[in-house]
Amino acid sequence: MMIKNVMLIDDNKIDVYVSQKVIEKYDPNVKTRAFNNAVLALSFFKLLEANNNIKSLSLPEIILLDVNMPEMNGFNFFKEFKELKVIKDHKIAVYMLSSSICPDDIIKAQKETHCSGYIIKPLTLEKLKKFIHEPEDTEHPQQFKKII
Amino acid sequence: MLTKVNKEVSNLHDKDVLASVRTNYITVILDGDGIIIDSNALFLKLFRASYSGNVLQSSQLLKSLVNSRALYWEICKTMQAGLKWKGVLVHKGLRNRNYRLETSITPVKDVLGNVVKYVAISNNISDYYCKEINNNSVYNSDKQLLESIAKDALFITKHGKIFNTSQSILNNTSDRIIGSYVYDFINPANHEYLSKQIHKVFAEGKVSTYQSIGLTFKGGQTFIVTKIRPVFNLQNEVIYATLKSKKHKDGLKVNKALKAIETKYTNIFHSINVGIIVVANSQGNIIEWNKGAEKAFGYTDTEIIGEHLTVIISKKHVDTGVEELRKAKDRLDNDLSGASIEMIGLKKSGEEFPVDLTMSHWENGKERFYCAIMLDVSKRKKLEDKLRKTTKDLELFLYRSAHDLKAPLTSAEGLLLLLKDEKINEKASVLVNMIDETLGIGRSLLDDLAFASIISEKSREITPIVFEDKITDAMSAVQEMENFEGINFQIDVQQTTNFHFNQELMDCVFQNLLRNAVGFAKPKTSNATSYVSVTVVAADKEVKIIVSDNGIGIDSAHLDKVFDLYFRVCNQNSNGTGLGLYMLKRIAEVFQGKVSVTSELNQGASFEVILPNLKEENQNDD
Repeated sequence: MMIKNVMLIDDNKIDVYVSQKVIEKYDPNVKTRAFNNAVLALSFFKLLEANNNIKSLSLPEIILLDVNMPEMNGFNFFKEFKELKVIKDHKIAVYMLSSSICPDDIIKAQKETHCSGYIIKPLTLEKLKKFIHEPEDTEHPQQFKKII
Repeated sequence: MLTKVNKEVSNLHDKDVLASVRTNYITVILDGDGIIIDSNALFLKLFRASYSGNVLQSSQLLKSLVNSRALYWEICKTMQAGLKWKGVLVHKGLRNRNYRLETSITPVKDVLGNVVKYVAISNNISDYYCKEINNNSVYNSDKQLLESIAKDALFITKHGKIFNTSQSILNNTSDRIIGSYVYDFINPANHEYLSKQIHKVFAEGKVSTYQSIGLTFKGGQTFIVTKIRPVFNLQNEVIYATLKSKKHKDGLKVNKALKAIETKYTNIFHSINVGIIVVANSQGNIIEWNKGAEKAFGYTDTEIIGEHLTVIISKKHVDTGVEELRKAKDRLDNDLSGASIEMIGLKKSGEEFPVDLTMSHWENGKERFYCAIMLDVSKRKKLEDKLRKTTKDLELFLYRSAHDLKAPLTSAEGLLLLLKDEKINEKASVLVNMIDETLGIGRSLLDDLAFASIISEKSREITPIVFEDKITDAMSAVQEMENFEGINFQIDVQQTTNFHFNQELMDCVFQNLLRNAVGFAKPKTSNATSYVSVTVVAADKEVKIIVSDNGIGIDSAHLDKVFDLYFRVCNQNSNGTGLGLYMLKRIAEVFQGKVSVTSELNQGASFEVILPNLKEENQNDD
C-alpha cells in the first residue's frame, strides 16, 4: 500500500510529535496532518466534501485516532465518520492509537466496523511497518489487526 | 306479651293488628323485599322522618338500628330463613339520645309458605332500661371494658353473644357490649377453650368455672375466675347463661414466681420499641401487635388486630411475600428452624420499607400461633447501598487514575524510543536503558492496578475456559523473563468437563502464578535443575490449580503476607509490582474461591488456587 497522507487525531502534543517522527523515519515523503481534537478533524472532511477540487490531493489513507480525548473521544468520532460521503469512494483505514490496554476498549474497537486496528502507544517503526505492510486479507477485508 | 301479639298477627288481618297495637307499640310492616309498606305514628315520631313514601329499605333501617355487623347479619339471615327474630335494637335519635327498642320481626307467610310480609313490632323500653343511657358522648376504651366485664355478669347465648348485662354494669359502656360477642373481649388464644366451656354449659346444664389471666393496660396482670351458669326455663331447658368474672385476689393460689415471669415477658413484649413483633394465628390474622410494630407500621393495635398479615406487606411484593411466609410457616410446621426472610413492609401511610423477619411458633390446643419478629432494615439497606456505590466509585476512580497516569508514561516511552535512534554516546545510552526499564515497571504497575480495580466487574462476562490454552498463553507471556530458559516445566491438565469463568481473570491467575514461580527460581548455578509444575484439575464444581516450584521459597515469617497489597520480598530477580498475588487473592475473594501457599525457605513454594465453575451463571458473552 502506498501511503501519502496520514491524519493524526490526538490531544497529546508529545504523542503527536512521536508519531510524526516515526512516520518521518518510515518515509520522509509521507505528509502528516495533525488535529488535537476529533471535531476539528471531522470539519476538515466536511470542508473537503464541499470543495471537490482538492479532495483527491488531501485525503489521508490512514488515520491514527487517539481514544481518550476531551469533547469527542475516539469512539464517538466513528459515529460521525461513517456518515461522511468521502469514505464511500476513498478507502480510509482508521487505526486507534491508545495507551489503554483495557480489554473493554479493544473489544469496543473490534466491534466498530470502520476501525481497522488497535495500536498500543507508543507508535514505533515496527508497529507502523507491521500494519502498513501486512498483506491484506482478501477474504476478510474487515479483519481486525491488533498490534501491540 | 309481645309473643302473644305476634301470635295474633299470623291469624288476624294486618289492619286489625295495627289498630290494636298502634297506640302502644312502634309498628312497621315490610313487604317480602324488605320495603316498608306501612308504619304507625309512633314510628314516624321516633324516626323524625317522613317515611310516607314506600322507599325505605329494611336494610337501611336495620343499619341505622344495629351498630354491630354480626348482629346485622344475624337478623338478615333470620329474616331470609323465614324465621322470627327477637332482640333489643338501639336507635340513636336526636341529641344523641339512645332509644332501646325491644323488637320482634315476624314473617307473614301465604298459604304456600312463602314470606310475603314482615311485621316488626317494637316497644320503646329506654326509659326504664337504663337511666344513664344518654350520657354516652364519650365511649370508654376497650381496656376499660375488659375491666368492667371482670366485675359484672353478662347474659350470653350459646353462641357467646351478649344480649344483656346485669344492672350493675349499666353504665355508658353497655351499649357497646350488648350485641357483641364475649369472644371480642377475650384473648384469641382462649377462644377455643371458652367456646368449649359455653357449649358444655348449654349441653349439660352444669356450672362451669375456669381461671384465666388478664392483662391490664399498664402491663400488670390479674387472675380472673370466670363462672358460667346456665339459666333454665320451665321445661328445664337451658335458654341462656350468665357469665360472671371475678378478679382473683393476690396471694390466693397463685404461683408468684410464674406470675413474675409472665409479667416480665408481657412487659418486654409490649415495651420493645425497636423490634417489631407481630403474632398471627394460622389463618394469618394478626392477634398481637407491640409498640415497635405500631411505631414501624403506623397502625395502633386496635386498628390492626384481626386484620390479615397481607395488610402490612407491600402490595407490589405481596405475592412473593406471602409465598415466603408460607414457606417459612411450612418449615416451622415441620419443626425446622425458621430462617430469616427479607420482605418489603407497607406502612399505614403507604410508605414501603425493607424488613428482616424471623418467625417462631407455638401451639395452644389445636390452634397454632406464629410470631414474626421483624427489624426495620431501611437504615442498613441504605448504608449497604451507599457502601456498594462508594466501593464502585472508588474502583472506578482507581481505574481511571491508573489509566490516566499511564498516558504520560507512554508518551515518555515514545520519546525515549526516538532518543535511542539518535546518535548518543555510550554513557547516555546506559541511562536511556535505565529510564526505559523504570518506565516499563511503572507501566506494568499501572496496568496491574487498573486490572485489579475492576476484578469485580469481570464477573459479568463468563465464557468456557480451555485450560491447556490458558497455560500456553501464560507461558508465552512469561518467556521473556530472565530465568525462563533454564526451567523444566511439568504440566498436567485434567479437564473432563466444561468449565466457565472469565477469560481475562483466568489469564491473570495463570500468568501471575507462573511469573511468581519463574521469578523466584534459583539462579542457574548449581547442578540441580529448576522445575515448575502446573497441575489443573477441572471438575463440575470447581477447578483446583496447583503451581509448585523448587525455587528460593518464602520465609515462613512472610508466608501470611504474600497475598497483601504491595508486598514484595527483596529479590534481585523479581521486579514484580507487588500486585500479582494480591490480584490472585482478590479474584478468589470475589468468586468465593480459595488461595493458599505452602513453602519452605530454599526448598520451593506451592500455590493452590480453587475457583468455582460458573457454569450455572447467566452467560453474558457479548
